Amino acid sequence: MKRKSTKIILKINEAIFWVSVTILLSINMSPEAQAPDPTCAHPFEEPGISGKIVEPCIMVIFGATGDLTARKLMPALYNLAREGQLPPQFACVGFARREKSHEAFRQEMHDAINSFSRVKPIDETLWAHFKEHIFYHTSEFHEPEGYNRLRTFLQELDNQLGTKGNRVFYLSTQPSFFPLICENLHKAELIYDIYQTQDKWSRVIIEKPFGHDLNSAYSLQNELVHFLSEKQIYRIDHYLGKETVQNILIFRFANSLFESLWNNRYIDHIQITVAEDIGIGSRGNFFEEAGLLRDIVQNHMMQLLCLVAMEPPVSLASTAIHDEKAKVVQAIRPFQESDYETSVIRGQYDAGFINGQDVVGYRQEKNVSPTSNVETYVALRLFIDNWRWAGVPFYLRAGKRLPKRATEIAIVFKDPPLVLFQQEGKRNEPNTLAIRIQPDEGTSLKINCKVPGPSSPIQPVKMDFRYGSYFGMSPPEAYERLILDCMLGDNTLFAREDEVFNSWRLFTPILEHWTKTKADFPNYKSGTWGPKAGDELITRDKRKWRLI
Amino acid sequence: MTLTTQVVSPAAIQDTLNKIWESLETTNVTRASLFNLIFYCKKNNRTAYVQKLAQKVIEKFPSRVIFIAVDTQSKEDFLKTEVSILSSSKGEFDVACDYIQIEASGPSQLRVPFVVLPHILPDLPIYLAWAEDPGLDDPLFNQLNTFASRLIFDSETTDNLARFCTTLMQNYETTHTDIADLNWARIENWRDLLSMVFYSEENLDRMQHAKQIAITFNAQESQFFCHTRIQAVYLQAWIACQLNWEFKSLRTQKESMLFAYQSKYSPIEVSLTPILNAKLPPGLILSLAITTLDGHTYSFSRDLEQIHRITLHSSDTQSCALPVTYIFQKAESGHSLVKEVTHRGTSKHFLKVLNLLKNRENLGIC
Repeated sequence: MKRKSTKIILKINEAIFWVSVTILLSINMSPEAQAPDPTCAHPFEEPGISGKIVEPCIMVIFGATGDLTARKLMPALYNLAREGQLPPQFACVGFARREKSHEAFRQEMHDAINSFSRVKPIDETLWAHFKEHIFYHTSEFHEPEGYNRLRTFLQELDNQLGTKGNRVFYLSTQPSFFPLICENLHKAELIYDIYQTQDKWSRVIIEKPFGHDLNSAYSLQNELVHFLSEKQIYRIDHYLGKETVQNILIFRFANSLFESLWNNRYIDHIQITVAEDIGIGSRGNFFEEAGLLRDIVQNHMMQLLCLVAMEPPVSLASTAIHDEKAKVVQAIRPFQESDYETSVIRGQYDAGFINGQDVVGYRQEKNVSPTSNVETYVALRLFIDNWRWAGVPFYLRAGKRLPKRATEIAIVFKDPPLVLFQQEGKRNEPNTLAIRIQPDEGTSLKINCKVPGPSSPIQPVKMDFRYGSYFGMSPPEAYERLILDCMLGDNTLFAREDEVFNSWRLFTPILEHWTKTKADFPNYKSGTWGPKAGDELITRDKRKWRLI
Repeated sequence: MTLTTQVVSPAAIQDTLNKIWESLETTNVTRASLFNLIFYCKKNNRTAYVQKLAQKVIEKFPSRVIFIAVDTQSKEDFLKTEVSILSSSKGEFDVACDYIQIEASGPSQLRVPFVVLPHILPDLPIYLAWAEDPGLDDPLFNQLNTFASRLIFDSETTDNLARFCTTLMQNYETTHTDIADLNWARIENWRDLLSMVFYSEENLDRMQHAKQIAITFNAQESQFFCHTRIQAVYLQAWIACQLNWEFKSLRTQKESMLFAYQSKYSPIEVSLTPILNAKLPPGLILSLAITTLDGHTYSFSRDLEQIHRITLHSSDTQSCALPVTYIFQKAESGHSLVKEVTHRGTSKHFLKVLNLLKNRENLGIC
């Protein structure tokens, strides 16, 4: 154990005392460099019952004046503090270009929490304490001196608050800044080498998108690994922080009932839908560069697909789960050129009606080209060529300005082998298990049932479990769980590099094809379920999209 | 919030519930039941408090509540039942659940299980919240106990903590039904805090070299709470068990209880000292000070104005560290019961504590 003594000023009752403070530096291996040994339980910890222990740390948010900080990150930190989940030795430093005092930043964050927190209004007593741990640092992202000043400031906070040099850097900026910020953090010695620095840790949370195609993802990764180890990179996909998404694993692997049917013998096909009724709003610039496939399909939908299709992991360890997810994406049959027009459909919304109100078309949105070729709808069919899923089509669709906001996974089962109850050539409805991710979170199962009476008609009925009905409390926001996991050094709910690369490998040829070919846009009216070609994609297989 | 209440005969409970739900079909009320929650208490001035606990639980976890109140003083032979719908009135949907109340006189209480049994929702866990001293040889407890999947007690109701611990252990060993105690749940924050502070090897090592622990607690009694030492007793027992300290003796000195233990390094004295504070909840642990053999001190003290704030001052003979403030999650009435309901299994740490405290007849609690 190393001991380092330093003198700092401590204010007590308005008087200033010089106090000799001993900071104890542990020589334990850093968490990134060493896997935990479950057999060495701490005597005060009881697995499954004790709360998780978060080490002291400072979280620095790059892009602190942006929307994400106000709407999600700061409310998440506040709620973690409210529930006693943050360590007392904690600070949050906002890093952005605009000149601002700590106090002004705190006031903005106070208002943001009051507007966007899942628990409102803000608890002023708690806030009075919490705000003392919020700071603001002005600097340009490209200015090395700003990072040196940041280092000095963080060291001061370490001394004041006992945050022990541990850092979470949250990059809530445009992706083009990721390498630059990491390089400057590295130059300012704010990112620690996990094999040389063992008494403190630094981790970087990176917002999506991670690259805009396979090559750029490789190139971004190559740039980042100059300054960071893969173990320090936390690629956030907020879908994975959602309770309902995490519940997919519980649903599948804690219930023997469904897992025994979870294969090509019993499942006819699977539909995954991510529908939004909103348009692109103020994100015109971003969307013109990204498009829906990059924004939703390549990341969120692939994560949902992986969780639905993966094999049981050998344990709940992060590596075991990531390994199984990565195998799913590896096993997806690559799209051939012949599939580009038939198995992958793109669309763009035109003017129409949402909830009876007029809405403009995509090309009329702010910061969007009037001749834009960017997709706001994608439907695709893919196959996973492995033992479990051979021959089972997965239909994915996502879009903006669809009739309603709904994200769900539907498992459509095959008909019984012998149709005893077929009536005049009419097929019975297939059993369908729908996992609703948002809103109206829950699970429903459609089964066939005899209508009372002598003629025995068969009627499909629905058994429905709604999270809101059973667990009336408001669940933690995805960002709360993900930020906490990063502080704990648990990257299970973050995307691993191979998952990201494999996903880009699948979709980059399509993106390239779309760049080369002009689409006949717009091709669906706002407020409808997408273009005709999207319906044809599935009706061609004698199936149909679920009406959600 | 109770939507509607109807006095019914035991035979009409289910039909009446059905009718109430049918009448609500056109409303926005959703019926939900996560588990069966059976409460038992004696009919006295604490009954209303236990009913409030039931309401707190269903606000978080809508469940079929069967509330049994027995009037042990009454010589009459009566058994009354009423049904109602309890609504949480929170969240996106108005969620409500069944509430069946059974009131019986002492002579009629053995009929109670026969009213309870037909109204248990099948395939859902059965939590029995026994808000009376289980140390008494209660035939009703013995009958309800047989079908409970989890027993939740409140040691506040006991006059003899050692006997309470012995009964719980005996019950666990014979039935293997999961057990919990609300006073154990009430100190969960402290257990987590100590776990956090002594997480590192060097801090744990210091803790293992403790020679003195001083705990103060609020001894101010209230209408519903008079056994104010129990949380402090549990906390020190938990520390001793988890650090493998050997119990040596227990004595009292003025108002304080003094526990003596032996670790592999030295004897340890633990004092539990009452403090009266009418503004704070009864039994609340107010401070905890640990002194180690090499002169380290860890002094945890609760902010008496903002009681969810705990400040730690730590020092040794050469230096002192900056004070650190920890924030406990704000707890409302019923919070401990809600937390216990969500835990699965029986805490192994709690079983160790029960083992340590059982047969210590001089615990003399009230």
